[in-house]
Amino acid sequence: MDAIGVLASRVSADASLVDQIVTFFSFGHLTLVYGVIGVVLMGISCGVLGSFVMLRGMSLLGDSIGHAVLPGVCLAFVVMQTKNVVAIFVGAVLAGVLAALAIFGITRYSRIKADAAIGLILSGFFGVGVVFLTRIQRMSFGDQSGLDKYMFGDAAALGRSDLQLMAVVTAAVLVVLAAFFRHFQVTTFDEEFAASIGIPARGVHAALMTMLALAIVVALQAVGVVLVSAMLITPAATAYLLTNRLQWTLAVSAAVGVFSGLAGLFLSFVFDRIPTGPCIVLAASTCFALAYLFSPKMGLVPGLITRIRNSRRIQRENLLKAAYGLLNCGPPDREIALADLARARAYESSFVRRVARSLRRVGMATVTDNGMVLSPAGYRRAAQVVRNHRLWELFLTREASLAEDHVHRDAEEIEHVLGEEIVAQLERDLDNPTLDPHGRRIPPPIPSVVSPSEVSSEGAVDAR
Amino acid sequence: MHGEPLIRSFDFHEHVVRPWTTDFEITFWVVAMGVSVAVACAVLGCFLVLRKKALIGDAISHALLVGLAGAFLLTGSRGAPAMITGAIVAGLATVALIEAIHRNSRIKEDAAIAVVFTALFALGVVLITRFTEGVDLDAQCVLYGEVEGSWLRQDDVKTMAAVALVLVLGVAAFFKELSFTSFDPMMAASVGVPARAVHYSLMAGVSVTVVCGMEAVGAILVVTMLIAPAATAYLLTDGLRRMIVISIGCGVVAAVLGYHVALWLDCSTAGAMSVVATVMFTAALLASPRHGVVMRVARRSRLAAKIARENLLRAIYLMHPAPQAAEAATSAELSQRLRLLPKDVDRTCLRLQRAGWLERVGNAGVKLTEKGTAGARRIVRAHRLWETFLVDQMGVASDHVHPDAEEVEHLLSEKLLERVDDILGHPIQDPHGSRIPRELELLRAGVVTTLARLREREIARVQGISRTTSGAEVARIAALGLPLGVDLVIGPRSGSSWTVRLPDGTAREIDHELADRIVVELRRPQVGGRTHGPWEIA
Repeated sequence: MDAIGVLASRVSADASLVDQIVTFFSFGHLTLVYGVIGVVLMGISCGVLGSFVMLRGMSLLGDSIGHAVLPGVCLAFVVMQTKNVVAIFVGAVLAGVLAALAIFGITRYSRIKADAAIGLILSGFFGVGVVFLTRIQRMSFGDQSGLDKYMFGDAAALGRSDLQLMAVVTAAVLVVLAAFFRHFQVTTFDEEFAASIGIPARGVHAALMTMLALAIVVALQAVGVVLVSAMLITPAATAYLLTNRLQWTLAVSAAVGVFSGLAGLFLSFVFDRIPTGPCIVLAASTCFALAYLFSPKMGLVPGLITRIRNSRRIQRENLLKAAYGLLNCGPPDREIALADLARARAYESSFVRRVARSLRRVGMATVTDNGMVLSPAGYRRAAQVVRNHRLWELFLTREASLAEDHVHRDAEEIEHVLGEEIVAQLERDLDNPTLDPHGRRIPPPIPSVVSPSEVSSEGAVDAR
Repeated sequence: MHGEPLIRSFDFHEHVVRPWTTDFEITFWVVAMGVSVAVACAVLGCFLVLRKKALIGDAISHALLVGLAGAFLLTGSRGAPAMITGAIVAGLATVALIEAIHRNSRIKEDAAIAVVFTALFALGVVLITRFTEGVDLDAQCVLYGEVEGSWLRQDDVKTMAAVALVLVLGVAAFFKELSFTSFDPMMAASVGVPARAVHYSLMAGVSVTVVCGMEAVGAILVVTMLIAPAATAYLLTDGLRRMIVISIGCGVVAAVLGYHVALWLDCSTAGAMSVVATVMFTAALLASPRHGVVMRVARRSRLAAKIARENLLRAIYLMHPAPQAAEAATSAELSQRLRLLPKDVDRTCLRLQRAGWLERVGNAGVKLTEKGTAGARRIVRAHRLWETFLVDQMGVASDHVHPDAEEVEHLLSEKLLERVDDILGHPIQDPHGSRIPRELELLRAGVVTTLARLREREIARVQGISRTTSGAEVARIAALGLPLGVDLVIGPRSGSSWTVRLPDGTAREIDHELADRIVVELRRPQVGGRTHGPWEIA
């Protein structure tokens, strides 16, 4: 397990937690400073490239390239017989590009689909790498312990030359992306349009693949073969859940990459016996999980809350409707017994009480012990919902030629979401009717006497 | 370096015979393990490849680590039951998480796979390194695998063999369900096959296989064993049963050969198995008789050569349309017309000459032989008919037609062309106003054909009606009162009907339907738009 970078033990064997935290933020150790610079550079280059890779639907290509560099690394080692950083880098990049080309070739020229091709190249190249690696180990020449670090990575073992290489690659990636931003953007979203304005999609793709191979090889030193795809995809996926614009996606993705790099480094430094690479990946995964759950626009929880709110509103409005029916055109401020309401809609009486309280909270009714009285706003909304219902029934029977007894259920759904404009349009199209298909009166619109915002915000059609 | 070469010399006795004689026991258990893993993976792999779920297999194989660590932390045991349970839970959780993410958000499936398996793998590594010190749950071994140690773990081998057997039997028992849900999920749903249950059972199978085989081949190399034999088989056959059998065969060969290769090169057996499987895939990719790259390239270049030949024939024909023409087309003219290099033109000409389509005239030129003329007419006919079809039936603008027609004309079979001709009502002109030629064989005097194929000013005799004529049509044809065995002159087409002038001076209008039914003997044909006689019978 010594291949996994365990930072803390290297710095101090038995320091307290606070000591470790202090040590971390004083940045006294050179390995630590190198580690910090390394993960920042990796976060930026992987985050930015990963966004393009993910948006182009090639998420697992990075994984494949990451695994596929192993034979390149080993071969470079065999040829040079030392751990020459540049030679290994060149070998790894060549192997990565070869893997990308092989995947492209297999999917293009055979019936094998992309997923199988990616898995094949990933594990096939890795197998060749394992054969090389074990062969080298058994031949026992030179100091080959450094080769293992490509498996799990070790941000603490980054040397000066590694960092220089990382800086060059990151700078190159940023410069190329900035210079040809529109090319990358257009080919990512609309390949046909790109072709029509003369952007060479294949060239752009090749450039992206090359940069990807470079960035992956550099990142391998920090997080290792298996987890490198996390550094590409997890920050990008997080950003994709938070923003809609490409520029923002890139920026957020890079920020998440940098943050999780630092957080992972910190955690593995502070706590004993936690490897750096997996820690960085877990930090990024946590960011993703948070975005997946809580992203304001696309998160699971906000979506759930909206759905609950809507169903509450629909419950309230159904009760309003029942109350409107019981009032039966009498005076709107008459008290209605909750038991009657429960009978009218076949509800449990506890349920009616809960919904009535909910009506009181939004100012649509006042609730007494056994009954409730609609407020003017409540009465107006009740009339509006009934009106929506009956107008829609009429529309379905007249315009869509449905039978009278088939329209109720549909109207029951749509009455809650019809906006005022659509109702006005319906009314015009139906020539201001007064009776619905069952012969009941369609209540006329009641002009707002309280604040108009209350009704419109309640009755607004929810975008979800 | 101790001077040992990277690739050692191969010694048949040392690397092939000895393992099965002196070291039989070790070999037996190692090979048994390899073969069991290979068989289980090969069977499952077929369905993964067909369902385009190969990468889910990859994801499961990585994510299992967290299940193993979790099971160990909870039970404190490294026994098979705990590990297998942990693996199944982790595997199914992986599949469910991936599904949840890509169902409930805009994240696509591949990105969801990448996010989920890396997170679970990282968690597994952290759990193992942090909490299981001194326990033999080695992340290195999980990645590389060590088949070599199998003879020390004979119980593991027996478990793996049992898993392989159960999987093979299970696939045999539920073959119908598996193939239904793999090929036609809609159909499967309609006949009540529980697709989700099948899917999750398959994934549970993958989990069990991977966890049992993990110590042997490792999490990454097990992916080769899952995909490579199945993909190899997929390239070699089209039937599912045969695919499974070939896949198992490939897996077994990879396992056995890999063992010997590893002995020879003195390297990881799992790695060597993976390499052998990949090499087999590469061979199938290149040389598969039906789906191989070599065959595809050969087919494509044959087609390209055919297109070049046909384009050349057509160019010569259009330059000097009549077969009797004595002028020869020079290769300079042709290369200019076809925008090709003269040497390419010459090469194609030579080929056509050898096949008897062209003959050399003097030094510089070539002209069509009779066979060549017939062929060229057929090509021009195909081109113009297809153009007409695109404009008339598909609503393509007539000035956009050319490039498309150019591609398809070389692929249309005779039968299809006849059908197109019939659908279009046997047209005389293409959308550009050029005449659509008919086959030369059809245009000799004495040929028996249908009235629909005849054109203006040709003379023919009615012989009868075709065998496919319906009763109603017979009545309508009888009503026309066409005399048998008398020369009739074909008049101009008006819309989609044919006009026929009788010897007594009266004319008949015949619609397409009936014109297809009336069998005539052609008495005086017209070739190349030239008039062979007056409109009236002389």
